[in-house]
Amino acid sequence: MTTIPTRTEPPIELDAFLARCLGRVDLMECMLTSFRAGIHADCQQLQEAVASRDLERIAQLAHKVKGASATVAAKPLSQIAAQFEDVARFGDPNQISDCATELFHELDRVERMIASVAGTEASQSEEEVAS
Amino acid sequence: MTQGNDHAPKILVVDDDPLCRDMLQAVLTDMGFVVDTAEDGQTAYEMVCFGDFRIVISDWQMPGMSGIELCEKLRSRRLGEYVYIILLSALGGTENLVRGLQAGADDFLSKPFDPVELHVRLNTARRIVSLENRDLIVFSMAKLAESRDSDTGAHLERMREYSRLLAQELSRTPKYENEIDSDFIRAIFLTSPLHDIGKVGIPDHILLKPGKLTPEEFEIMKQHVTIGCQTLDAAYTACPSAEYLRLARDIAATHHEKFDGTGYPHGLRGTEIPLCGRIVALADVYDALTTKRVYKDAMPHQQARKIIVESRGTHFDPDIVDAFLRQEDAFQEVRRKLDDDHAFGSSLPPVVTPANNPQLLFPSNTLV
Ligand SMILES: [Fe+2]
Repeated sequence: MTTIPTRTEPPIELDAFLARCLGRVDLMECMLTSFRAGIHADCQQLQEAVASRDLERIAQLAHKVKGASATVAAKPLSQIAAQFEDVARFGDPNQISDCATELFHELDRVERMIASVAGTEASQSEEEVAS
Repeated sequence: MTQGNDHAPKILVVDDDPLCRDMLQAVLTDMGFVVDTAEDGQTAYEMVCFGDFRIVISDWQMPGMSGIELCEKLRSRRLGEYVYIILLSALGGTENLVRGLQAGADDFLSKPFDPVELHVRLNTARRIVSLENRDLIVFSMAKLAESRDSDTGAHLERMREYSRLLAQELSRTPKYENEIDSDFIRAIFLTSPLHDIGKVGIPDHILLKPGKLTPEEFEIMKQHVTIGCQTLDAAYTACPSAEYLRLARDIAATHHEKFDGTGYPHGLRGTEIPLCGRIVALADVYDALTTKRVYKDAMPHQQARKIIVESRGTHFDPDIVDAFLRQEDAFQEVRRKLDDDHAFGSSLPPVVTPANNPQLLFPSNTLV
C-alpha cells in the first residue's frame, strides 16, 4: 500500500526563504545549517517514537517538524508533518508507518537540497575570491 | 533596513521552537531592534516583569504556559508598563483570534512570518508604545511643578531613589512580599516625584514667601495635597487603565499624613495611610533634612537618622523606619551621587526665587 508520490515541486522554496532572511545569504545559510541539525535530531527521535508506537510523542515531534520546516519554506515537508501530527492525534494508527515513510522520504530530498545549496554558495564565494 | 535607533523598543521573542526564535531574533536585530528570547511562557513572564521589554512576540502554542496564558498574565499586572503583544499563529491553524483578543493580544502574525508584514506590524507597535512613553512625561510634569518652587535641586531625583530603596527593602520582608512586587517598585519610582504637583495651585506670594507663613497662609499651603490628589484623580478617571496614576494620586494625597494620626489633610493613622504614602513621607523628610537650603545647611546623615528614629511610630511607620535603617548606607550613597552640586538636576538653569520659606521645605512642619 506504500506508494510514495513522486514530488516535483522543490523541497525548499529558496527564493521565499531568502526573502524571509531579508536577502541575506549568510543568514539563510546559517538558518539552514541549524535547521538541518535540529531536524536530524527530531527525526531520529520520531523514528524511535514510531518504533514504540508512542502516539503522543509522535504528535509532538511531528508538530516540531511542521513548524521548523515551515520556517525554512520547506513546504511539502511541513505539510507531510502536519498530516502526520493529525494522524497521530486523531487518525488510524495503522497509517503511522506510511506517514513515517513519506516523511523520511521528503526529509531526504530536503537534506540533499540543503547540501547542494551549501555547495553552490561555497563555489560561488570561491569564484569571487578568484576574480 | 538597519535603523540603528537608540529608542528602538526592546522586544522579547517567545517560542519553544529554537529555529523560529533564532530566525526572528536575527531578522528583528537586522531591522534595528534590541531583541532577547525566551523559550517558554513562564520565563518570558519573569523577563518582562524584571526587564524593560515594550513588545512581546509570542508563539501561540507552547508546552506549559501558552501564548494566550502569557498574554492574560501580562495583562493582569496592575502597575506595569503597557506591553504590546503580538501572537504568532500557525498558518491554517485552529487558533481562535477572538480568544486572542479577549486575552489582551494587540496583533497577530501568521507563522512562518513574512518580513515585510513583520516590519509593518512592528512600526505600528513602536508607534503605540512610544505614545506611552510615560516615564519621561511624568518626570517632566513633576519637574515643571517643582520649577516654580525653589532651589530644591535634585530633590526629585533623590527622593524617587529613596522611595525605591525603601520599597525594595520592604519587599524582602515576609510582611510585605505579597504587597510589593516589582511593578510596585517601578511605579513608586516613577510616580513619587509627583507628590508635590499640587503646589502649582498655590499662589506665588505664599509658595515663595521668604518669611514664616501665617496660620491662614499655612492652611492654603496645605491645599497642595488636595489639589495634587484631585488633579491626579481626574487623570486616573480619564485613563483608568493607567493604574500608576492611582498610585500617584495616593502619594500626593497622603504624603503629609502621619502614622499616629496627627498629619494632614485627613489625620489618617497607621495602615489607613496607603503604603506608598507612608514610604514617600519618609523619603521626602530625609531629603529635606539632609540637603542645603538657602536658610540652612545640610544636616549630616547621623542627625537626620536620629530624628527619623525618634519619629518611629509617631510620624513614620515603624516598619519603614526599620527598612530605612537597613538601607542607611544606600541612602548615603544616593545622597553622595545626587549631591546638588554634581547632580544632573542642577545642570538646568537655576530658578531664581526669593529665599525660601522653611515651612514649605520641611514636609513635616513640626519636625525641626
Ligand atoms: Fe508636600
